Amino acid sequence: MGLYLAKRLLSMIPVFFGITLISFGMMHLAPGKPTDAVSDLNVKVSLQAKEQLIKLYGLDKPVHVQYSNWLRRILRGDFGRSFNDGRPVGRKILERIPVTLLLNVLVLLFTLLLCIPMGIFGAEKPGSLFDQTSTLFVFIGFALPTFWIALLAVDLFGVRLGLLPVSGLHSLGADRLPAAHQVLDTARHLVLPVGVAVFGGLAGYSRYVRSSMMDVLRQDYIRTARAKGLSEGKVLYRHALRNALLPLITLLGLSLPGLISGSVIFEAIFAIPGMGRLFFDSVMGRDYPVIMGILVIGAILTLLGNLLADIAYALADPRIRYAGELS
Amino acid sequence: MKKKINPLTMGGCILLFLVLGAAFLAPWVSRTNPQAIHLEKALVPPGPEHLMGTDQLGRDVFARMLYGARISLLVGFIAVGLSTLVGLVIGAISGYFGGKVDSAIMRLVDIMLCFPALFLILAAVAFLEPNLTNIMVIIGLTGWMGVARLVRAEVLSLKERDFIQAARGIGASPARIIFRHLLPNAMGPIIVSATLGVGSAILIESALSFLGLGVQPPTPSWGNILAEGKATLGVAPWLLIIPGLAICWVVLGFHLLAEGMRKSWSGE
Repeated sequence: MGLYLAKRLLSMIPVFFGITLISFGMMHLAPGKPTDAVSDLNVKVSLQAKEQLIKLYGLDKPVHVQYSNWLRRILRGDFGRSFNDGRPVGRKILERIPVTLLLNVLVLLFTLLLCIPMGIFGAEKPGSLFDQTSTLFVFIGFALPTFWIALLAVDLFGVRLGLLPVSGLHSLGADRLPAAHQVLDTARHLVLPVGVAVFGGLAGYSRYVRSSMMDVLRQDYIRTARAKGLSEGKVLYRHALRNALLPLITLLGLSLPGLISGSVIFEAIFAIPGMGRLFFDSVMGRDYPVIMGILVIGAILTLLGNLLADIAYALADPRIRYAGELS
Repeated sequence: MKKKINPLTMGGCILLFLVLGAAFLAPWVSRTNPQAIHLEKALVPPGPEHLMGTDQLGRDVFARMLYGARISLLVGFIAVGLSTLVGLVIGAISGYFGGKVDSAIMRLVDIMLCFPALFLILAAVAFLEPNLTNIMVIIGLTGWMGVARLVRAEVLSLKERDFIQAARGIGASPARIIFRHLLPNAMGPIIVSATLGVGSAILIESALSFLGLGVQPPTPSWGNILAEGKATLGVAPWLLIIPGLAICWVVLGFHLLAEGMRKSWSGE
């Protein structure tokens, strides 16, 4: 396991540098010089900001010097200062991350709670009414724009029925309430964004569990388990399920960038003060240091998420561990 | 024996045929100018005179949806054409040459996949400007990684087969082997993935327009018609519901078509 982990960690280093290179390249996308896009096309950015940008990225120096200077600074955690309020970008991003993480962890948790039983029922009796209905649901689920569902849900549950709050994480004056009520208040604010995000992701996940489960059910050891007279419940839940859920770990790792992407839309619709909302505001206001910072940090979060998924997989599946050590 | 067409393919084709036909024949389907403003007829509900009602500027929503379909479909096809082309070339080179080239390219794919797609797209939009061409190019150039992996896998499984060895044996150049022998045999899964991709690209464009960073008004796209409908949701829900349903319709069409093709090729 130690060797596997060491190899895995080493392989992250070039990826990290790749991430910084591509982010750096993005800044030079702007036609001419990056500062042209800032000053000529967008009046929001002042001359002062232009000078700041030139200084921050050393735009008067050759490209490779610019990159190595910039890289050295982000390795120290210095992403410059926001054009918007002059605060350090690193701190601005860090204080937004917990909200986005909370949102995404809740979404993943509820998605898993729902998709696993849905997938199992579908795989147990392929072609049954439940299976066919869920297949239909999957096709429609893939095609629905989630922001559209979010807006309709806001209109129905928030505006027309008045059941749930539709924006932010706290009600006005919630800080004066006792702690238990504050938690309840935040939970009520999270119902719509989490509910809609889970609904949006459910189709894909349940489909995945279903096909993974069906693959496992075709294996010889399942036939053996049935042949020795085990009950169907034991075959499904004790023998098949564990192996069928293994690939789900990888899927969770792979779906991270998608989740983080989605947080831009959800946080914009529900006015949730997370990293996605900060990114959206920065793009709208052309706050380049923040955009660059979030681009790098968002990619690093994905990188770490994939690492976690791989470690979890290696812990759960000895074949991976040993293969890693043998090769 | 006549081959039966998969019902999924059939359903997908019908859904898409209706939309493509309406988009193509837009000026004949509706004679109303999608840009014509009639403030005195703002927010008229759907009825015989305006099939899909009018928006806050009194523009005919049906006409806007027809012309918007052209834009949304154009974005979908061009973006996916671009990402498929890039993915084909990169994946084929990676799979065919193997070794260091392959590991360098696959590392690049890993790196690109670390970026949340929407972050990359929005950052590019922030540095460039959100106009139709940029949107198509940006969506295309951020979506080639899946195709590249797919093509690489296909090429790896094909390149040791006898007919490729034979081509190499008679001295065919790598370019000829890749484009004349390998890729034509790998087209099945690539077409399926491109079909799915058109649907995703349309969804991405609509999300961008919804955020105000997609195709810019007054050019109608389904995404920005939907975004404009957001403001009048309370009084004119059709402005939000119609474009949403249309997006769903088209994406569903592409998904059904892709699933149908996949099933008939894999012989299920």
